Amino acid sequence: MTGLGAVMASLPALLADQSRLSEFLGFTVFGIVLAAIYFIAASGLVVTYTTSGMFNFAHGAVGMIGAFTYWQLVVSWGWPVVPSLLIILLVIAPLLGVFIERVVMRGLQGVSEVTRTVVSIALLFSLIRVAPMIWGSKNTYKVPAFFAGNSVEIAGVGVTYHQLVTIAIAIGVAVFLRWLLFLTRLGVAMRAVVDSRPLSRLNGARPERTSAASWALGSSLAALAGILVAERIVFDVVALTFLVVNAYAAAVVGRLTSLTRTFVGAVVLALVQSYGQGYLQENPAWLPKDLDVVNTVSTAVPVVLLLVVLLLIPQARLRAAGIQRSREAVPHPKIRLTLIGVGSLVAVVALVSLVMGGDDRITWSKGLALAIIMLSLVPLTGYGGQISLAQMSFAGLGAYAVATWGDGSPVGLLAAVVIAAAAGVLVALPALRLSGIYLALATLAFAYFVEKVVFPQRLLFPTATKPVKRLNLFGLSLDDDRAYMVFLAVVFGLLTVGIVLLRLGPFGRRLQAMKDSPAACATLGLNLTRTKLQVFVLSSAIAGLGGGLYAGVGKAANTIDYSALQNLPVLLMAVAGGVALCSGALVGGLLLASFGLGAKSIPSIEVLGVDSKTFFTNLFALAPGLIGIALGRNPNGIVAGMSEWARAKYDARFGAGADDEVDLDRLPRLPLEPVLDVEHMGLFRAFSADEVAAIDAVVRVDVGKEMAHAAP
Amino acid sequence: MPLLDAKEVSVRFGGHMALLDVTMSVEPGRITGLIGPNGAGKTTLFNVMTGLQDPVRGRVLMNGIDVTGSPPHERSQRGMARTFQRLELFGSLTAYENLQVAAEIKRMWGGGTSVPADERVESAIELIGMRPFVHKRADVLTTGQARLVELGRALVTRPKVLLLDEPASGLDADETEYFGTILKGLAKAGMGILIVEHDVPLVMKLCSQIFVLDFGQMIASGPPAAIQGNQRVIEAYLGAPAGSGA
Repeated sequence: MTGLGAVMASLPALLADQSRLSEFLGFTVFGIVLAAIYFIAASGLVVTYTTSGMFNFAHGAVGMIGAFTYWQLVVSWGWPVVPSLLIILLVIAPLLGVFIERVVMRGLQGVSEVTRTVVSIALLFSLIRVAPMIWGSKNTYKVPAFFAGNSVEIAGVGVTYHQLVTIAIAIGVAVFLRWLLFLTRLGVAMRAVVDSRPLSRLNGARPERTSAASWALGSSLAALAGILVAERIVFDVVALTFLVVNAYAAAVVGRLTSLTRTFVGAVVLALVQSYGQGYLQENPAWLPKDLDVVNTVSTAVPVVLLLVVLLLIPQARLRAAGIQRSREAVPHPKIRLTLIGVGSLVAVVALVSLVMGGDDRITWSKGLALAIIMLSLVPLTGYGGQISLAQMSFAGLGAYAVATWGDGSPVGLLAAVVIAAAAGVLVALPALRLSGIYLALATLAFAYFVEKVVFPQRLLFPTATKPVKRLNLFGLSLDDDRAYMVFLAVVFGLLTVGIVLLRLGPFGRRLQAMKDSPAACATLGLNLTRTKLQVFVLSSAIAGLGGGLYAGVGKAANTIDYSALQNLPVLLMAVAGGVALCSGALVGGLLLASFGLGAKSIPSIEVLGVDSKTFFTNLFALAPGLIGIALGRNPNGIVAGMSEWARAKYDARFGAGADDEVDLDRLPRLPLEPVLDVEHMGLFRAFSADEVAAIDAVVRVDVGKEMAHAAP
Repeated sequence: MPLLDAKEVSVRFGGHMALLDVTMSVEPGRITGLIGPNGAGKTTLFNVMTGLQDPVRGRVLMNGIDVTGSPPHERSQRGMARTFQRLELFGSLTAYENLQVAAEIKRMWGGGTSVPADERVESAIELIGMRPFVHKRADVLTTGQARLVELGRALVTRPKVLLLDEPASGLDADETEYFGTILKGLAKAGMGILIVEHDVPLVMKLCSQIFVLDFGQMIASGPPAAIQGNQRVIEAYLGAPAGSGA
């Protein structure tokens, strides 16, 4: 915002100078074209959200797939531009959208919003991993501009045909969407399905079909944005995905529902970014010389703007939603079992560490450290129902703290906890007043910010890797890998006991209550924002500690380990393990570490022109995404699934009901039948005089007498 | 002084005025009723008073202090509690824990009480007779039991004013009777109670003051005797009289 303000203030001076004027106009044109692309991307997001009620985190990745397909057809196969575009926008992208809706999203009825969001994040991750399997992992892709080489001059500024086409397409999209959503039968049906699926069905709409149509449309818009934006850069999978993700900020300005406000958001976002990039060529005088602002500002603008917008959005109204039943079980941990489990874990790790080879020890130690980072999600997501996509970034800050102030003393870990918790406050504060999806977005933005702005600072990280000295506790050195592995198991155990005690105490009950009914909690006097902030700070502190310990495993803090993308498998595997259980975090952490081990152990054999090692490495990299998508089928996670299976075996052997006590957590938790609550839908009307007379003739009620009879 | 005042409250949903200049009050030691046909705006008015909905115009006062615009938890801390028409229990907790959470929240903001949370919970359980199902999980309770748990949960916060949104819906005759007895006892102890109810005979029996909403406007108020003879109220419930009269 300040960038725009500064430009406005210096406008008269700019206009006086011809060369500076054309420079200004150049940045403006650049900004408007970027705004057009952001609007197209964001409008696709808004269309899917308003017509399916789901925020599609994979939107950016769908745009990336669209751009790569365009590269395949036009550059690699040399097809003409127009037929290629039509095939992608009218066939391939819509089919991808329908596939996502049919295969992934439709199975998500009766699961919580957390699970739905996680599945869409799993899809984002999967697409990012699938693309390099098809197109390789080079980062030198380039597509030609439309009408390359042609441009016109407007007010002394060269505007390419590609830029003009982009602007025209955005205007076309705006007009088309307005017409579709408000003036056509399909559009009205799309909006009706979100308002009430059962009621729209009763009125003859076919929710499945309209839902599929909106996903197809959203997918096409993502692909279109991806293709338009790809022309500007030499791209790779992740960069292109996040370029479309930038547009999420514009959609947030429209509060994910208003196309008009989304348009305004896109224009402001793009202009600020363009002027920022254009005019901020060197550090302002008040900033330290060795802080790199110039190179990082262009990537940071959308992210910073997203956080600013979240601060400005008014608080959402709390809604009473009735008792929610979902397919998800709510485990009730028992302290005795927890202590037995933790004791066994430490004993097993101590034994196993003795027989393990050096490399394996490092891998499983990483698994334990990842499990500690995933533990941070148990109170936040498992108990409190909030999603964070920045746990690995908090871990990165923790790793930095240990590398900088550790030197073998516990001060480093203490600093890790404090810094991560402080960062947690900064990220969460704007988003916590709002609903869960905004916290997920804010944390994703923060993760991107850490990767693009914090980590590249040479002031903080002179090289991408910083050596870490392991803890030396009261003369007891953990330099030996075996000792460190056991130490990690002990830390995991202590944290587990702490988290279980927290769950069984007042704070845990409050978190569970807040997840079940925020409205009831508020009317009982609970400050929801403060409660969410408390659990978020706790969670980011645990993640920071886990990051410090993770860095200790390899004796180095490597910024690549904590990139924005690394946050996704951490969340996915934590939820896949079972995010309401500490044992779920353990399973998730160990599994995630084992994927790397699995990929390493595959021999390299060529089968049908494909190298087996490459194939399995890709497959293991994709695994968290596929497992995350499968959550729609079993939202309770692996640990709960296994105990269910063991239970069934036990019952088969000893007969059902071998235990006398009925365990309520095991009762089938089916989604409630949708109830048509006519009054809540605002469908009411007074009877006409004729209707009243007709009713009277049948029932002969005298209201006055009825009331008199009823009076005390 | 009334415990709770709504003064000229208006609420707009898009182009529809859900409430238009509605004024009403709840006095201590009395049960006040709010009735009206479906869609009259009863729940909306409830939400405005508890802070779940902001009015476009008008004010809400508690004990003469303006609380318009303050969030629900602050109103609760001033002594307001409510139940919900569509039950808002903590489904994954037991009935006991539902009350326990409320008592613990109350303890967090003090309210000048030294009674331990568990003691409050126990006394509420005795008062409303929820002992038989106290260890059942809330999402497997019958509607009647669930309404009692919601009442119990509201009561452990020791409210000065209690707002009940259709407490009798889903209850059988015996349960309704029982519920009414509890409410009368609470009013006798000085609590101000506001109930929104479809069950007109129940409202007539319990309330000393009744307000009637129709199409977002307050069309009548007064003691039960005055309300049951009110022509506008009768029209609101059965539509305008036909030529021959209703």
